[in-house]
Amino acid sequence: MINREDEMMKKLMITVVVGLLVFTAQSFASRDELKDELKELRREAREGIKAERSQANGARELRAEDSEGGRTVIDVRGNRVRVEKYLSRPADNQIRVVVLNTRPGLADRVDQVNWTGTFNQDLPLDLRGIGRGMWGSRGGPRPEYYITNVLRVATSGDNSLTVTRDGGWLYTFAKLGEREWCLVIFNNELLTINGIGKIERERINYDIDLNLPGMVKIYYPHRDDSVLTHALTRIGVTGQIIWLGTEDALALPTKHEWEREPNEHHLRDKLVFADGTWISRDRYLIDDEGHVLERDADDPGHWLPFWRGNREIIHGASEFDGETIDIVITPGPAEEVGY
Amino acid sequence: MKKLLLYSAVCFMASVFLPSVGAEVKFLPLINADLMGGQSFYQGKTSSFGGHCTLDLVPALRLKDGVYLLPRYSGAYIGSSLTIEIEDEDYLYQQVMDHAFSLKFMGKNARGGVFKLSGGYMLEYLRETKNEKWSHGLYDYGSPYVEVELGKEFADKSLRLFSLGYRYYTMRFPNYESLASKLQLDLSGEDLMDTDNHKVFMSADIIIKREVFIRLGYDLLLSGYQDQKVALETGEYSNEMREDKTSVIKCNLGCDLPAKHLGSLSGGQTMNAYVDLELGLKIKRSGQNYFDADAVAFIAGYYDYNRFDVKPVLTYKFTPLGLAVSLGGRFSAKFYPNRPLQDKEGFFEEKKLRSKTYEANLAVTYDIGRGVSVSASGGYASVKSNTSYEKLYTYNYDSAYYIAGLSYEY
Repeated sequence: MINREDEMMKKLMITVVVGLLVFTAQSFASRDELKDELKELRREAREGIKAERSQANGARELRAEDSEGGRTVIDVRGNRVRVEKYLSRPADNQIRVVVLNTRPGLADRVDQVNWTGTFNQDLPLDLRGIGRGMWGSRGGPRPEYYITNVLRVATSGDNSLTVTRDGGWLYTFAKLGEREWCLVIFNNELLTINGIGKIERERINYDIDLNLPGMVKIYYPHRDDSVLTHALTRIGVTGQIIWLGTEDALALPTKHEWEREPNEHHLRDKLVFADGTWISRDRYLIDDEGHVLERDADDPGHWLPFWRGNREIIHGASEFDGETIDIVITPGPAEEVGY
Repeated sequence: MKKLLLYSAVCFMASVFLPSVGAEVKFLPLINADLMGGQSFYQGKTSSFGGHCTLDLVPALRLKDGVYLLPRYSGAYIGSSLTIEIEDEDYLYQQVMDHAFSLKFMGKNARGGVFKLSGGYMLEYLRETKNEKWSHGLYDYGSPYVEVELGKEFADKSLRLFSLGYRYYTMRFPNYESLASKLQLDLSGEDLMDTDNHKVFMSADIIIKREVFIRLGYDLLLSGYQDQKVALETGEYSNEMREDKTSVIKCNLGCDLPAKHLGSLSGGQTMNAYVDLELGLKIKRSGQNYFDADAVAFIAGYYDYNRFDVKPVLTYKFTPLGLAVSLGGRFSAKFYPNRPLQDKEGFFEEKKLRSKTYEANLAVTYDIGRGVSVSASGGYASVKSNTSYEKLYTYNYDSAYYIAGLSYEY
């Protein structure tokens, strides 16, 4: 049975459509007659587009500021990396630098390095110029402010690599009038992976007043129990280093791989310990698109200063289960600060 | 039954009254579409060939004499890194998609008063790397705005139009937040790029001797950052949020070249030429400072700059051939009064940063008919700066582009 209401509705809808068509037909004007009006409307539309473009340029300027600050680069694996660096003053004689990396294309993975440096005295408010002498001097005046302790913690997810350096003092290895060649050396250093000690160095028989660097005992994980054990002793700071013999052969690393790409700024080193664990480090100098910078083939020993490119350091370890800590640091002009 | 009666009443009114109203209301649709392709060249590198499409739809309505409603949709897709109007040393993205929706009400009265009210929403999506998906771009943004403008037209006087307006807009980058805030470190702020903006603008159109047109304009933009703290000398951040102020003074001179200065053409062709010269001065003052964590250097007013632009364009039109040739250029000089130069190792010097941009471009358009035209354009730009330090940003570069395709206008 036909629904009468539906039939009426259909007829009424047709009436509305016809009415609208009549309205529309009358509304469409001849475009030739309205040339001037159309010209004005086009101009009005263009003004609107121009205003929107000006607004969009504001967004471009913000992105340019982000790029100018070195905050977005591409890493060696082709991932976009957002880099942020912060500096704070936890104590009057301390600086803390935090470098954060995130990779939006990798589910926003965050890698970070947190570097805290303690100095020999309270630092001034204006920190300009501090960076140049904090690790020593290469023929300039003896630095007024230098590092005595370093804590460097690199993390990615649950994985961490920590380097602690304590008891830093200035060792002078050459002097000519007021010009001094000196280097900060540490009395104690410890590297841990996920809280487990992997490399320890302990300085003995040194004398700061007499400028005697003493000897350095080096500890590695023992083959049988992975406990840090005195494996080697060395003397010498710069120039010739002399190894004084093996203390415990079962704590000596079984392999040390060290590779330098002949034509690129890429250094790789891997240390395999006696207990089978290992740590590795790949260091790159890359441009903003992630390309490894080339080295001068005629001068293979030449390595560009770190500030000539972005530094990327990829830490690996057996405890990381295939993962890495991958940090990109956009360059700065200070001497190597080790973070 | 009640529904049926209601429907009947509405349809009766619509069918009787609309046709009579329609006699005054006019529908004036405007359409502009471009389908182009091209390549860009940057520092010796060539981009892939990419597409460039735009669409502008304006189903304009004339409600009565002098009163209009202009809904508008504008869309654009750029499929390659094309160099387009390098304005702030920004050189582009792999893929860009823009959408803008707006509605403008415009009314004029018999005494020359003009009132405009508009509002809209702009969206931009950017894909910079292969693994970045649409709407997941780091720099995607949405920007709603509302604008009101009052003007006065003067017939038979040199000053033809004076207008004053106000625009409010926000910019929100939903995918961008500071890394420190992701790790719950309260350092510089979270939504660092989000802004609220107030813009006041005024302009005056002047006609001299019918052939010469001058437009003078002044814009003042106040930008408040929602969540970007000001950096302090100690390297830490204050609780004060960044605020920027930008002033722009513009002068546009347009002039029809007199026929006696143009050569004569055969075959019934005539040539018209038009010169346009745009001068601009932009002064930006920012409340944000810069702390270089590597150099341990603090620079107040780091983002401040002054920029002067000159942009001449000469256009020749040949009728009835339908050919138009445009030759243009741009010179821009930018000066950062507080940003010191850095040597190639990055150490700061006494002198301040400056850059200059030189651009030249050529465009040819040929009207096929029925609103369709073929066009091709190309350009070259050279940016030079007095800095040697380019590890974070490229201040010296050369670039070029070409683009060609079809345009439609209705």
